[in-house]
Amino acid sequence: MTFVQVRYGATDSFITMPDGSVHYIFGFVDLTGVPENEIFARRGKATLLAPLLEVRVGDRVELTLTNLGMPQRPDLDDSHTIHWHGFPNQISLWDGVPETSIAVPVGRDFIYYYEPKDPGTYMYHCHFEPVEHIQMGMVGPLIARPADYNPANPLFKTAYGAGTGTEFDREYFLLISELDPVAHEQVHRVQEFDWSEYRPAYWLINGRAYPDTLHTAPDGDLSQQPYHSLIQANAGEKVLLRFINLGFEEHAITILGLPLRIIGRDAQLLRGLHGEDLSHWRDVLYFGAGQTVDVIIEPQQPALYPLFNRGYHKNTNAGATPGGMMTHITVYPAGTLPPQPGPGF
Amino acid sequence: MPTQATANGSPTIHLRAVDGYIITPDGASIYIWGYRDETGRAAQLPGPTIIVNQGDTVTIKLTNELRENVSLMFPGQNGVFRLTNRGAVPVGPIYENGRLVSLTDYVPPRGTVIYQFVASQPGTYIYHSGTEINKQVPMGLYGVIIVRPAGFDPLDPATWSAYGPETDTEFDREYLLVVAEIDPVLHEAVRLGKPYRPSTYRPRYWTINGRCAPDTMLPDRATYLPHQPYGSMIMAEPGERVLIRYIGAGCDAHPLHPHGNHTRVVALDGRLLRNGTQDLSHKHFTVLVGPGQTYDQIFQWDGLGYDPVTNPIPTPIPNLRNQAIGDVGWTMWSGSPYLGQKGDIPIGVTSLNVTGEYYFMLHSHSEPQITNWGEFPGGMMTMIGIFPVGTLGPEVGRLQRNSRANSTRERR
Amino acid sequence: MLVSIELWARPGIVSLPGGFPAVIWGLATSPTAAPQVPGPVLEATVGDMVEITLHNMLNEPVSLTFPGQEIAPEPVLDASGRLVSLTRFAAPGRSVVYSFPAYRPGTFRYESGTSPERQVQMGLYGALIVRPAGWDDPASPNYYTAYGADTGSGYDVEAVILLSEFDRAAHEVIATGDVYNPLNYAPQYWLVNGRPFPDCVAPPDTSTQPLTSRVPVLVGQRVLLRLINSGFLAHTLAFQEGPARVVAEDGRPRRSPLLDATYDKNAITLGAGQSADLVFTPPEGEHYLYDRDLLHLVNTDDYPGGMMALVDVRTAFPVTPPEAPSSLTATAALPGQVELTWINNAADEDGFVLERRTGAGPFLRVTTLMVGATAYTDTHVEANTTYTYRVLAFNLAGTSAYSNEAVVTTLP
Repeated sequence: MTFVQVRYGATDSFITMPDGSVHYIFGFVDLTGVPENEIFARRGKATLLAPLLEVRVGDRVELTLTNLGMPQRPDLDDSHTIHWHGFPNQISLWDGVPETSIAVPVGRDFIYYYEPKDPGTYMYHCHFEPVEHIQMGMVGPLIARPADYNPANPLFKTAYGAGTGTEFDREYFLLISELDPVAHEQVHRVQEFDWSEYRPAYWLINGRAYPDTLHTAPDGDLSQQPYHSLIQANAGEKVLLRFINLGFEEHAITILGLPLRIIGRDAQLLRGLHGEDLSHWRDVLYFGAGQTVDVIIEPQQPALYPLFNRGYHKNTNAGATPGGMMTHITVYPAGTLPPQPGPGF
Repeated sequence: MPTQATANGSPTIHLRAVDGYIITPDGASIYIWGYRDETGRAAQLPGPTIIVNQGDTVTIKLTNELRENVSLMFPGQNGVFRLTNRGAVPVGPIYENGRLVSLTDYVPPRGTVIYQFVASQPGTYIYHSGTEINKQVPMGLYGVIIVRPAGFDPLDPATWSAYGPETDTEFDREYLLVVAEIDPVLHEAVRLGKPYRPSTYRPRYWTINGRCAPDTMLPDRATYLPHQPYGSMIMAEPGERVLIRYIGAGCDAHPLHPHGNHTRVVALDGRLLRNGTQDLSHKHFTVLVGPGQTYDQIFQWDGLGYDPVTNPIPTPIPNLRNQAIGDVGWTMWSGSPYLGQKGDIPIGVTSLNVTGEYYFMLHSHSEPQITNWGEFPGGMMTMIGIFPVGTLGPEVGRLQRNSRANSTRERR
Repeated sequence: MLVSIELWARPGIVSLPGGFPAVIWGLATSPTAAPQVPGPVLEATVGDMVEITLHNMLNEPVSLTFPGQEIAPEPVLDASGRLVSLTRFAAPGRSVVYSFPAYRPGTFRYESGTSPERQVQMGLYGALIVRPAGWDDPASPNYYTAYGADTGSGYDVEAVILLSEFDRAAHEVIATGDVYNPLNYAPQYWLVNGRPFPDCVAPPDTSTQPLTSRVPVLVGQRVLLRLINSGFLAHTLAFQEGPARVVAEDGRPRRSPLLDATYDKNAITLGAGQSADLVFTPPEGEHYLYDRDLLHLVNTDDYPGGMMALVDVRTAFPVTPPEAPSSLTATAALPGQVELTWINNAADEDGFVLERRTGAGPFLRVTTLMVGATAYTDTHVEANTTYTYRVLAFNLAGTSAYSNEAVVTTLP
């Protein structure tokens, strides 16, 4: 059991799409360990995605949210919250819904507290005017590891605990979402946006569109988009893909040449009431906003396996192709890659 | 209003297809077509909830008070007949001049048609028009049929289950959430008798039980929502098993996400997710409710055991003057982290909290759907209220035969 | 054994309701045959080696992918490492060969892997059916099963129900070689097996849209529906007489020796690219499957139309095609329309196909009419234009000869 303390700031910044277009975002920035007298220097440095929050069942987690304000929108005095989406048996104080508890005003802090009990893939996001704040970028991935998780022992390097058939060699999270540039522009210009007119032009994995999804090296244009999604593995390895849909649309994700073994959904091992193993294979994963799906792939042959949206019209960057919600899965001969040092990337 | 069953075993329900208006929280009045029963004067949205028992021979009379043909389909019910002077005839597609004019036997204006079927399987079902369905169903001609399992006794909570004994679908309270969308341009075109282009369909309102948030949280039969009689506020006590029935009546999919806890999906389209002893139910924190489909789920909130004396929360309770409470002037929060306790709500903020209950939002995670014509908050959103043990009456969260109530909202 | 298939990718013309032509890119089984939308149903048996040769008669590179076949892909990248094609392609005028073992039974897709946002929309897609060994051997436990013995997939009648969308504006842009913007994707037609309703219930033919969606069944027969969504959008198929049992998803049976995870559905949502196999034994009568996104039951904005299929259950099938209609007349009584009448000489027809040509152009299907039709008003006509009409009758035994041709010149 560990006492985990993290601190996130709510602020704004800009992101870049592969066509060079720049888009205003709201988001979170990691303030963990940042001295109090330096946190204001993190204003305007939000990232899309927000930092990966990685915890373990049994941990005590204190998450401090600090509202840093929006340098680009000094007029805006919106509060913010953290909603751990899917946390079981939550109490309203830490649920992050302004209408049912507390929101954090500009310049203030609030501590959310969690003792995760169920492993799996979750998400967190701001729940203040969520249609605006989620679309604007206040979204992050959240992994809860089983209590017996031990990456040094293959039997205990699992998504849902030893003996659940969820062992993996490598893991990646893929948070998918969309971007409507008109909405972002209107918010930046302090204009109203009619959310019933929502119409995205970019489709993102981990805050980036293809081919930026492939860029593993630090990239100046992508300074506020820290997570690539190039998936790399050795032949014969089990690769856990944690899909998170924090867009507003349903999506159909597929990998040419690799079936998807679906082992968990919504941070629940796929099991019936009496332990029936409901894991199953699909070629196309179709899922909606606010859902997570845990998938294990087991590529046997070295190759490049494209991952893309089977709604082919979405594999575009504002009309240019290829683009959008695509990435590569590069599989090398067995033994080529060293063990993955940590989760994700 | 909701439910009728005249005689045990062979209930007869008389529905009328009529027009009317609903209202939205942003002040719009929207023309609808809908069903009503003998107690209503105008169309209601959704139509009256029909509750029958497994094995009942169900007779439904439909009188058409609209100006075009209308009908009823009962997806999931097999062997539907139309009663005629010459006896019962199976319903089916109707062609005139070589053109498909209705998916099922219809009734012309001012006429009455009688449908009959045996409710052979328990579960949650939809009913809707089978005529000009691309227009009539979005206009509001839809409702819900609940078939109680054999042995269900509304007076005996020990018999309350969705699918019968040994199915792990027992419940303490139950709620219906029928979801759909509204494109007001369609409704206005129909009101004016003007053509409508389906390709221009663009929903601006998203409804639960015919209402947009925050009206969803108002009680059943709120006097100022005369044609939207069903609320969708879910109320329960800790540990209770709450049966939530989602019904997709619109044309789009809606990812419904309850805060507070997962739901266990136990049945789809009125069929238990079980083969023999093998159970196929599973837990979700978001259920993608597809059009024309139903999802029965058990929700249960047990809490984390926090208690001000024996198990206080481990973080400092902030000075509420330093936080944002009720940014829009109201909150549903008690001001306390503890169930059944009330704290100081800052001056100037109205708390709608009654007795220290917790509220958890239940909403579409396709977030533009929680707006009213683009304005947050609104749309497909309601709340789950978790009340202190012993504070909810037994009438809360009950769908009763021969009652005027979907569920009553009085608190003890 | 080796299953060797040759396909030619070439442009062609399909007929949209109203008699409108649209350019497609389809797959033909010979260099002179009509290209088909969808492409031919490819069939193999487990143990076969499938070898497909694609000949490119288009003006741009073309390829085929076989999703669900576990073969390592061979994507083509540009100098910067970006995908140019999901798999190896044939340059214009060239050929490419793909081969893979049919190692497990199932209902699968094949489709273009090169600019699929354009080429799949243009028509380069189809169904691939792999059957278990012994499926045609009465002595085998796998006889007439989709997935082998003990998978709950036994059937008497099977049908492929392949869903897709058709954006006529996109076809015009792509066919002329202009830059296509996928953000503008907005289909006006919703197809089953390449045709929208009502043309989808007309018999199979030798046109560019050869497949029917009328499924003839005798009472008591088990029907296997192989649903495939080759469109870009999700679709929900609702069963007028359900439920049906989902026995497989994406070519994987839901039942194994350890667990029976098959389940019943009355409406099933398929995301883009997904497939599902459903088995049911429908009663006598006509039972439609229809897109429960009811706004897709139109052709452009005309209802009824769109994504429907018909399960046609009878006690016996006709053995002879119907008599041909006669005395077809075409009258231009009013501007913008042509009145057509004919004499029906058949007693056992299921419907009529009405065709027209403009000037000396090819005959295109205007519409399909159901049993008993003797008149039709064609409102999709240009002024001052000469049209030639003809009509035939059909039933499950085949089609009649054509009627006489009627020539008419429309009013100014």
